[in-house]
Amino acid sequence: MTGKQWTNASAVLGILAGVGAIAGGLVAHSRQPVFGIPQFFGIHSNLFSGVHVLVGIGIVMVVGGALTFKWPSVGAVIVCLAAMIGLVYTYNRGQYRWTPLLWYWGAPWVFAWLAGIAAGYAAYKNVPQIDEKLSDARPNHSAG
Amino acid sequence: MLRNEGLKRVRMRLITAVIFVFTLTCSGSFGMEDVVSSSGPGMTLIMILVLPFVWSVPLAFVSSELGSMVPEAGGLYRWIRRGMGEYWSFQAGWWWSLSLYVDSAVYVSLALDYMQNKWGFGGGERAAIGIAIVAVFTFINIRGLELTGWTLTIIQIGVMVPLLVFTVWGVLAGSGNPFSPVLVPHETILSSMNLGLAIMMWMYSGWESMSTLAGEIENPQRIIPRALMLGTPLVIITYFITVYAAIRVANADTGWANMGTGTGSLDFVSLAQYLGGTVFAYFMLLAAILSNIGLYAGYLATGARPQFQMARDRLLPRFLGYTHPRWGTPLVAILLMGIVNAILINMTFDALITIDVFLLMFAYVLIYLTVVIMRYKEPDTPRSFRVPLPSWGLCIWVAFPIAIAIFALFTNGTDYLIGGLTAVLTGPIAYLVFKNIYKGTTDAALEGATITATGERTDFGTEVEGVGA
Repeated sequence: MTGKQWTNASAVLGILAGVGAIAGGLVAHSRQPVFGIPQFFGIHSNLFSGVHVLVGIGIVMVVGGALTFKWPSVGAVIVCLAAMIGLVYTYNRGQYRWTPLLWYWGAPWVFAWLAGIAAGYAAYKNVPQIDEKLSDARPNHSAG
Repeated sequence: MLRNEGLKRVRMRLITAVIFVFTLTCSGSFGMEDVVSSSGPGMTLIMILVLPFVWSVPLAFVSSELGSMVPEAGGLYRWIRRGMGEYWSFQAGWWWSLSLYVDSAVYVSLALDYMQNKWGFGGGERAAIGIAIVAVFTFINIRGLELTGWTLTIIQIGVMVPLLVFTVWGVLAGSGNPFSPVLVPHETILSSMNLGLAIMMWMYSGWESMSTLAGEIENPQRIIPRALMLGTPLVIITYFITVYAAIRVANADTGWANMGTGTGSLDFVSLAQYLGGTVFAYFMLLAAILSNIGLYAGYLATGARPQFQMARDRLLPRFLGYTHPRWGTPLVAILLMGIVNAILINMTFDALITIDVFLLMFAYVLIYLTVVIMRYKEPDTPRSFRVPLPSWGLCIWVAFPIAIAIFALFTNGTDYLIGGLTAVLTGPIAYLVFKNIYKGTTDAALEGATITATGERTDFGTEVEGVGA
């Protein structure tokens, strides 16, 4: 695959991660309107519930995925960072049992990781490696 | 003396290499007490004998084959680069190093816990002693592998002498059949194994670590595989005889069900107290402290090397690749790890420990995949050690530890799962950031490469092969 193809794959996977998070948020909302403890550093608001975080982080991931088409490294970093923040935030909001977490965060996490891998391959293809040894390297096989 | 990347190669005797391997994979049996009470005495002894064949022996053999084929500084990072390319080698090096940054600090904390419980000093003294331990072993590591090897030898004598006396005494003075009962009463085989398996996998890890020192040892492609082959049975025997004796002593005391490392439980120190009184208990306490300090010294040595090599391959900040001008060791990588350890041991870092198992397991899976890929991709590249199995047999054999590693990811609890999943995502992020800044190095321009991209020995590789052969 070419660098451009890896870039496109990464972008699509990033958008899928976001869609997965948004879908997870909507499913969670239909079952449990406020998913998790809706507070953040003492501020109580439904905006801080697990449902809103899933949807909010999902939107960020979709934007990150879209940015990946143009800037693969920047977009994929946004997608992966969003998945990390969302996962830790939801866990710290009282979702200590792993089943609901895996249910709602499973797809976003997997797609975000795959988006990161595809972006990594795109970077490997697009960023030319340096073809000379470090200038301060000592002779490779000198007796010392 | 051969040099690559400014590293100085030292002539390491086989016995020293075996002590390195023993330290990194065992360093005494402290911690096994929890397995006995959670899995049952018989099951513990059976797992000590059986688990290595599906968990640690594959890793030891695979590390030997890959280490004899690609005997380069950075070890597993360079193997995976050769088999799976730059991206996955960066991931493995990153995950493995991140894991060891936390892991090595845990050993100092455990040593400090033993001291604090015994002598009851305050937080200030604890911090000062911890920083002193880190500073001493950071210096020893920067000074070179010769001094590190001597230090580990002395430490392991201090660990093993009390344990061996305990073993002989315990077998003679203890009571009961250590294999009975096999399981914890009213528990199934699976539930009995659950916690015990996680601990034992941890106790049987570390076989790949020695490989990272390959750039600083003369003739690493021969010394390291031999040390791994000798170290494997040594570790199994050490665990078996010491735990066998401990169960007999516990049976003579309040019973195996009370064995454990928590307060009031029967650990090796309290069992030594029962057996030989206060003086013997002091020796055992010293052994437990030395065991953890030895693990720290070993992992500080091996943990710093992949980052060094990644920096030399232009995948991490260049300063991490600086070596000591006189002693030829990765100065900045070791120093950075020591500084992070000194900070961590003075903080509550329970949350960070959760990333440990997950990251290490992911790196292990990549090592297993690499050995299989290399069998098919480069079947004719010279290997002074080869796992005595055909390629399809090797595939089946490594499937067991991969399955166990994946199983372990889900058995350590939610916090470990979340911590691990989060930490895994730092790998792609780090690669994207550092790749765009530093670009990486082509295979042809890699320093210290022993084989070319087409599988032929480089001039450097020929000289490495020749030294001490």
